Amino acid sequence: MSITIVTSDNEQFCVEKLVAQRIALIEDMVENAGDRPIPLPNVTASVLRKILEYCEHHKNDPLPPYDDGSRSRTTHISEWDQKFITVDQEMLFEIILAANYLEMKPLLYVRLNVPRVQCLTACNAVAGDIGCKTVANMIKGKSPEEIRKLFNIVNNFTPEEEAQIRKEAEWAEDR
Amino acid sequence: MPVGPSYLTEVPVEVVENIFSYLHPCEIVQCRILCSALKSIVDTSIELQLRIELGIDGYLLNSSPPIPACEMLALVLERRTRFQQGDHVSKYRLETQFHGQYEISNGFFAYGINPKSPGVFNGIKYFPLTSETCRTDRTRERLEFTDLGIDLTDFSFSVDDDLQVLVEKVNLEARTRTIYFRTISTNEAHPLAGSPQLVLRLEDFNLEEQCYTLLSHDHIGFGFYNWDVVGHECAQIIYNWRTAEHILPYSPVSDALFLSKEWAALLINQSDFVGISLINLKDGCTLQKFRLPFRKPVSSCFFITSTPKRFRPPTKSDPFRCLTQDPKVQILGIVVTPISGNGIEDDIHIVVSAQRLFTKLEQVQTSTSPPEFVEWEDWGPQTTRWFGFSEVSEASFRSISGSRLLGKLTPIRTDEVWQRELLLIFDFNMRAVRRYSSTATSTEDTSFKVFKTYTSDSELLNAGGSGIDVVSSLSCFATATTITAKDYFDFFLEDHAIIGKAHFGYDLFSFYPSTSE
Repeated sequence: MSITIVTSDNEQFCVEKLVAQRIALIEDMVENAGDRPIPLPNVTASVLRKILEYCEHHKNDPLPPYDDGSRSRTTHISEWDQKFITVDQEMLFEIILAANYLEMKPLLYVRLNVPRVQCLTACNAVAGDIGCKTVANMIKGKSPEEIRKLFNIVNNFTPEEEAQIRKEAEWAEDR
Repeated sequence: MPVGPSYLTEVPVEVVENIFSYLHPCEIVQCRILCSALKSIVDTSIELQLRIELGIDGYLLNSSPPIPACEMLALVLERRTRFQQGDHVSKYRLETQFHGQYEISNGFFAYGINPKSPGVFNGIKYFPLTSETCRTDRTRERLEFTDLGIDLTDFSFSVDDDLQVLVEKVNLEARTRTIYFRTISTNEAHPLAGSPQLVLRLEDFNLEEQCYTLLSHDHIGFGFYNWDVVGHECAQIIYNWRTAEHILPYSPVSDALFLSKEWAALLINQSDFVGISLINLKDGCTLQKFRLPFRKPVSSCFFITSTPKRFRPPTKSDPFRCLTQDPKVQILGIVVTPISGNGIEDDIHIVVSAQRLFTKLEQVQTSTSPPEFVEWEDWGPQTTRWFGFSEVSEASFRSISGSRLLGKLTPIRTDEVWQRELLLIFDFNMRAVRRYSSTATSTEDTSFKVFKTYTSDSELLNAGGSGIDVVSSLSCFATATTITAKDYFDFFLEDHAIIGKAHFGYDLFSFYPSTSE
């Protein structure tokens, strides 16, 4: 059984129900929509294609073991996910935003009736988190100037303000 | 000028929070300088603030309820200044009548109460060390059990797992020793334990004198020591409390230490091998053995270190989980008594860099024919720093960041006066070492008491009377604290907190002055 999703740029996707149900927002909408197509006014076709690719690849994933703390804290990303997330910065943030909007995070676990506490600790194998980890990896080990350049951030501090903030952050440098 | 859109500053706040939560607390602080929008997110986010507080500044003893990160940073800066001016520590005194076992885990300090007989008690008091802001789960505050229903000789706990491991005193009639796995919140059998209790039979265990526990993630190490026997008898068991499996069966091992969820280190002191054995915690198999340069078994050797109980990601409801370790600076501490006799024991303290040990392990494992033992010359000198008795007389440490050693300088008698016993903090964090060694010469007269820096090869002649000369080169620097060492008979270091044990109870020191002063 499949359902139809319409993206913001009016492209129609025919999606296997099992895959679509991995997305919380869509699942809620399926309940109410009946046979009508489901509109996603905040997601473009190119982004939805990526998200569905992700859902499709991970649809049979077992749950990451509960309390897998050491792995969660690292910014390790699996090989397939790494390839999946190797996109330009615009797409990277689009995926993060779409995953955020679609509430993909807890869904996988809600569907499997996993207690909420486990949802919270074992939710990093989803697209949005892989995106966030990727951005964090881009920040790690870089100087402020390099980070600003990478993300087109305009330094809007006066030299005095900047000196003050640097002073405040001094103690963090020898870690 | 930058061209193109700035996605990082345009996404919702919760997304930025999520991204920054993957950074080290120090990197989060550095992100404040990028632009005013990101600075404001860091400064107003309670979640990021908790990460910074727990990750960087140690415990804010007695500090007041929520303050925004910007104010906290100002506070930290002020503390640092005072620290550099010689005002090193804040103190919190915990008065208690009984001096039984004590433990510290994820921001909670717990100690035995309600003594029954020497070394035996049946109550535990849990006391939070972090500021009020960090405690969302108020039910566990200052939790106290005055009667656990068991006469204990030792215990361990993990707040994250709601687990307390209670070691009952030996039952001499049944010749058993029972270990209970219970919840901290209710003192009932732990629902996730593979078995609610573990009964050790003394037919198998002739070492009934003392049994110590070390808890890390799913594993518990039981150390058995019999001090009456010449040369000390020691044995270890490693047990998985969730699955009730024995990972390391009862073995003649001097000591055990958990390096991570996957690996443990064992100290082996046998006629054919004195050194460190790394084992896999999944199956108990030996990964590699690293020889120490002793030609015959030593009188005794122990780890003076233990790793953090858990390394878990933070969640909104439990910020304690952001306690992370940096494997790059993690160290293993070992105390060795090479020979015993006449009551004069020249202890040697050896510090091993975990990262360098792992690097060596990887090299050895990927070579075509891995040797059974890695000989001392192949790994030791670059990976370790040895302290002779004249440099460190006593040491203990445990640290969340895992890079510090607390040591007592042996007092020297000059002009008929004993020089004050100094308590030194040895820091093995390489970036900090570089920083301090570069500033030490230029600012010698400042009151920041850099005691000594160790950056080059040093030779320890006739280590502890063993007839062995050792060269070691791991870098560290030592700073002198203002704590009066002679007031306490025992010290314990965890990250930024030092616990001194005295006749009146415990003094808890934070490295920085507390806000309530």
